[in-house]
Amino acid sequence: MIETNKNIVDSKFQKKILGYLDGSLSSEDKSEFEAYVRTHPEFETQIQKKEDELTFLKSLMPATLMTKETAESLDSEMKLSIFNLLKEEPRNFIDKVKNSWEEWISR
Amino acid sequence: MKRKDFYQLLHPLTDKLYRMATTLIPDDLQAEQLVIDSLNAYLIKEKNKILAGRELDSLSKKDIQLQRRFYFKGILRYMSEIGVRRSSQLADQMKLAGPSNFKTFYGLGPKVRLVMSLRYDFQFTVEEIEDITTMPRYEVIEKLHNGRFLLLNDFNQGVQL
Repeated sequence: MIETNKNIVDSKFQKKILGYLDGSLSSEDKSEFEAYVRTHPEFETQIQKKEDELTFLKSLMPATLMTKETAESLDSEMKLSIFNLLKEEPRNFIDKVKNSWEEWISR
Repeated sequence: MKRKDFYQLLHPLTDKLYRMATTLIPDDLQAEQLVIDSLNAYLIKEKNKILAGRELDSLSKKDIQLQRRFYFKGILRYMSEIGVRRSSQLADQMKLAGPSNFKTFYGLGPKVRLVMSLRYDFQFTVEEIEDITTMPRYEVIEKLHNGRFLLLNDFNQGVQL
């Protein structure tokens, strides 16, 4: 009887491993889960297993790196957008000169 | 904040923004365009707030990191909205010229790819993903679960064959 109860508790927390690793448990559930792991160190191997599964999952997802050309072109496009769209409206002549100067040195 | 400060803040994020864009659209040019469009949308909407921000020189290293993350999330908000829509529009084109690698991943719906990438590649919490994608919590969790299941299941079937 005691053994059955232990299995039920184990499976209850097993179901929570992914939620714990995903960060989707509520703070109450998270504290309960962490307390359970502290008192059942053998449970950590199961968490490790799931963690390994998630690491493997990452390898099934693309992590595209930019080519040098793409990096250069994207960088210059972003720079252009920032300098064109973040322009402060000049309030006076000094602002106008300041803006023009900033544009000139950013070229 | 000056324009050059904002550019300096954003510069190290170029790589990440591009990576996120390719998750939604696996095409170099389209992904590049998605980054620019998302940035433009963000700049137009948040111009005043950005310009009112503190100068970069007056920020501590930690503050700079926080600011960078804040802007990254802001741009991702637009990217997720524009990217999901664009990905659906380009779905047929992508089927024809999609990458041979990661076929299963690109076979998932754009929203699932978005959520999976935000969680497992960029390590955002479920709360942050809710905020970036404006999806309710249950939908984020559902998409994470489905994506995980489909990717691993497909891989296991491939191994068995």
